[in-house]
Amino acid sequence: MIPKKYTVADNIRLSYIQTDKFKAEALTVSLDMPLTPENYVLSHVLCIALGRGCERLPSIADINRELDELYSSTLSFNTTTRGDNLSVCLCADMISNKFVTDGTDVLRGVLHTGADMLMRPLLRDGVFLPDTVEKVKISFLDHVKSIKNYPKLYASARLGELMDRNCDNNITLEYVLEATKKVDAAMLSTFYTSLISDCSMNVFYVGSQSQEQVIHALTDAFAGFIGVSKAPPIMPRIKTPTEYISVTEDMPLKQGTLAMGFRTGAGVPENTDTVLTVLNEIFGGSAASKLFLNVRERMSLCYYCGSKVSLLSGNMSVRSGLDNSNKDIAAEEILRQLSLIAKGEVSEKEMIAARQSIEYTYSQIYDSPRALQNFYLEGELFGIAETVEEHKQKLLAVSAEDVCRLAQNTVHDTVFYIHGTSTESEDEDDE
Amino acid sequence: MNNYTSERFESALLGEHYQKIDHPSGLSIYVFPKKMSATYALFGTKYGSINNVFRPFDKDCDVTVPDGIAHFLEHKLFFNEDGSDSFERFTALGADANAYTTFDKTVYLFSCTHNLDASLEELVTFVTHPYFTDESVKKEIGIIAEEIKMYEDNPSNRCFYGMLEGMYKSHSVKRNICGSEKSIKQITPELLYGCYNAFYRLDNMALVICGDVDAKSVLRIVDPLLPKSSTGRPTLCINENEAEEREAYMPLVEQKMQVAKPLFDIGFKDVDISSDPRQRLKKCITMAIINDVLFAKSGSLYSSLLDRRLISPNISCVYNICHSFAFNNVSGEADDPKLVCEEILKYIDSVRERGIEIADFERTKKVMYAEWVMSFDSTEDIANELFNSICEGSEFFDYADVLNEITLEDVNELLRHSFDKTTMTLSIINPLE
Repeated sequence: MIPKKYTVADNIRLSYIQTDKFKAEALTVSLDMPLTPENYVLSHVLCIALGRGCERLPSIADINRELDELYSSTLSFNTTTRGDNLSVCLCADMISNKFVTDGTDVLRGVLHTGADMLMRPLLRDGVFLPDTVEKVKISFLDHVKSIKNYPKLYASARLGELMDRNCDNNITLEYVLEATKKVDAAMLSTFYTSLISDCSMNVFYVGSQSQEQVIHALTDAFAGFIGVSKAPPIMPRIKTPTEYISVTEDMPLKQGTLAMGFRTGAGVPENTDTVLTVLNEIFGGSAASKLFLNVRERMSLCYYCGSKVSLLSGNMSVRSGLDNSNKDIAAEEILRQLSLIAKGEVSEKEMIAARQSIEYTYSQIYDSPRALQNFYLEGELFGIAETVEEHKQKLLAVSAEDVCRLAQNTVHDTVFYIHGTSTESEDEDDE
Repeated sequence: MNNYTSERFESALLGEHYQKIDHPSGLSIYVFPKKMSATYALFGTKYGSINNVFRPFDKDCDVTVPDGIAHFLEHKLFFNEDGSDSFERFTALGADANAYTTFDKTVYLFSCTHNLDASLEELVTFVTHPYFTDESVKKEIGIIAEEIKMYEDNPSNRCFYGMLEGMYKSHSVKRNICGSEKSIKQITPELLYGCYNAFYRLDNMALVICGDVDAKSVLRIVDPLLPKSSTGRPTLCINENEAEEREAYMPLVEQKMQVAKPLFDIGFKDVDISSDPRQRLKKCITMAIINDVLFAKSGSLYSSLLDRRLISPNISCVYNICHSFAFNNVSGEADDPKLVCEEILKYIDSVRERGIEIADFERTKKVMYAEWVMSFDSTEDIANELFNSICEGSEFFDYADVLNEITLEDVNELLRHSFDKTTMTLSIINPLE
C-alpha cells in the first residue's frame, strides 16, 4: 500500500491509497504554515470555531445531524505541529460506500460538509461573530487549564517548556492562556483569511473509491479554494543541550511524577532518526526496555517508567510516577541505565527484542487507514519518500554499536518534578 | 479437526464469520479469520473485581477475599516458576502483550505480526500455570501501590468511583478494581491460589483469536497444552443485584481535588436486569439509542448546554449492563454540575412526555449500524467485543438483528421507566479553592 500522488489543482495535491481492506475510510485535508506562538493559539481557537457551524449548517447540532445521516461520519478540525511547521487539519472518518443501504455517496457528502465548514464558516461582513469567538475561547481555555488535572500530561508539558526555554517558538501553557484571552473576532478572522488564501491544500485519502471518484469529489467540494501552491516547509532542527535546570512544583497528589529531559543530537535532520528510535526501544520504549525491567520490575519503584523521543528535535524524555521518597533513587537508576548503554552494555537479547518490536510496529501500520496516513503525512511534509517497508528495513539495520555511540553523546539537562503533598491516610478509606 | 464439536457463525451483511470449538477440557475456542497483518489473541476468564465472595464447589461455606485480588492475580500470573517473566518472553517473540481486569472479567492478550504459534503457546501456557510465592507477592505490592496512587490522583477516576459509591450501598462494583493500599497487603499466595482454582477453570474461560488464522492451525497449537477432559464443578457466586435496592444509596457525593473546573458523573442505577442474555443485549442497544438521542452532539440538549456555557464540549453517556449490575453514566465538566444535572433531568422529562421522534430514532439506528460495521476493521475490537458477548452469553453477530428489531415503541417504553431521580447519584469533583 504505497500512496499515489496527483495534482488536483495548482493548490490542491492528493495522496491516495486505494484498498478494499477496510470497512471504514479516512481522509485528511491539511493546510500547512510556519509555527509561531501566535499561529499556535489562533489555529487552536479557529479549529473550535470552524466546528461550531457554517452558512449551510449554522449549529453544532445541524452539522452532527448531517454527519449522522452520512452513516456516523466524523469530521473534526485539529492542529498538528511538526517541528517548526503547523498544520490545520480537517480529519474525516467514514464508512465505505459498500455498506451503505440507501445509495448515499458518503465520501462526496463528507467532502461537501467539510468544505462548507472550512470555506463558508459563519461570518458577518467577513468577520466571525464576537459571541462565537468568546465561547470558543472559553472552550480552549478550559481545555488548556484541564491539562493540570492530569499529572502525566502536565509533567510532559512542563518538561517540554523547560527544554525549549531558549527557543523562539517556546509555547508555554502560561503563554497560551494569556494569548488566548487576547484573541478577538478581527484577529481570528484575519488568521482564517490567511489560512485559506496563503496555504496550499494537501489531501490524503485511504479507502475503496477509485482515483477518478476521489478527484471528482474533491474538485467539486473545494472548487472555490483560493490557496497557493505548496511552499517549502521549515526543515526541523536538532535541539542542543542547555544549562542544567531542575524545577519542582508541589501539588496536592498522593504520587510524585518525575520527568527527565535529554538531548541526543540525533533525528531526522541528521538522518539518524532510525538510531534514535532503536535507542528509545532499548532504553525505555517497551516492556522489554531497561527502564521497565529495572526501575519497575527489579526495584519496584513505580508502576510506569518509560521514554519517548522526538525524531524531529532529538529530544528524549523519561517519565515515571512514584513515591516522593523514591525520586532520587529512581533518577539515579534511570541515568545509570543510560550510562550502561553508553558503555556498550546492550545485549543480543535486547537488540532482538527491539527489532521484533519494530517489526511488529511497522507491519501493523497496514492494518489502519489512519496509521498509514500518519506515517506518510510526516514524510511528505519534509520530502522524505520512504515507504513503510523501506523505513522498517533501515531501522532493522541499526546496530548495537550505533545505539551505544548515540547514548555516549546524549546529555541530560532538564528535570521537572511534581512533588505530591497529599497527606490523606489509608485510614480514611477504612470501611 | 479431531472430533471436537465446532459451530460456524456467519454474518452475510459484514462478510465475516467465526468458528467456535468446544474443547473437551471445557475451554471454548473462538477463531475469527481476518486478513490483517496483526493477529490478536486473548485468553480470558469470567472473573473480576466484584467476585470477592464466592463458594468453591468443594467448600461448604463462602470465602471472602481482599479487594483488588483479581487484579493482583492478573499481575502475578506473568511470573513463572523458572523465574522468567512471560512479558519478556512475548517481547522476545515480537508480540505486544498486556492484560486487564474489569469488574467482571480478566483478560490476558497479545498482538503480533509474526511468531504467532510461539506466542499463542506462551499465552495458553502461562495462564494455565500459576506460580505465586511470598517473595513475588511482596514485590508486587510496591508496584500495585503506585498504580493505585496513580488512579487516585486521576480526577476522572475518582469522580467515577464517587458515583458508584453513591449508587450502591454494598455491591462490590463500588470497590476499586485495584483495591486499596491496605487491602492488597492482605493478599497471600494461598489466597491467590484459592481464587485461581475457583475461577480459572477452563469451562469458565475462553480463548479468542482474530487475524490471519484458521481453526485447524489454532487447534494444532493449543490442543497439546490443554487437558483432555473437564474436572470440577462451577464456583458459586452471589448475584448481588438480587439484594440491591432500586433507589440510589446517596444522591450526592462531593470530593475536592486539584482540578481547573468541576467534573461530574451522574449515575442512574438500574436493577431491572433480565437473566436472558438476548434481552440484556436488546436493553443495552435500546438504551444506547436513548442515550444518543438525548446526549449526542446532534441533539438539542448538548447545543443548549454548550451555548449557555453550562458545560465543556466533552460530555458522554454510556450504559453499562451485565448479569450483576447495570447503570447509566453521564459525565462531563461544568462550573455548576448541580444546575447541569437539573437541566438534564428537566430535558429528559420533556422528551419522555412527548416521546422520542421517529426522525431522531431512525437517524440514531443508522449511526449505530455504521459504528458496528466500522468496528470490524480492528482485530483488537473484534476479539474484545466477541469476548464480551461470550461473557454475556449472547451471540456476537446478533447485534444487527437486535438493532433492527427495536421499534420506536420499545425505545419510548424504556425511556418511560428510566432516568428516575430516586435511582440517581450525582458525583462531583470540586476544585480545592
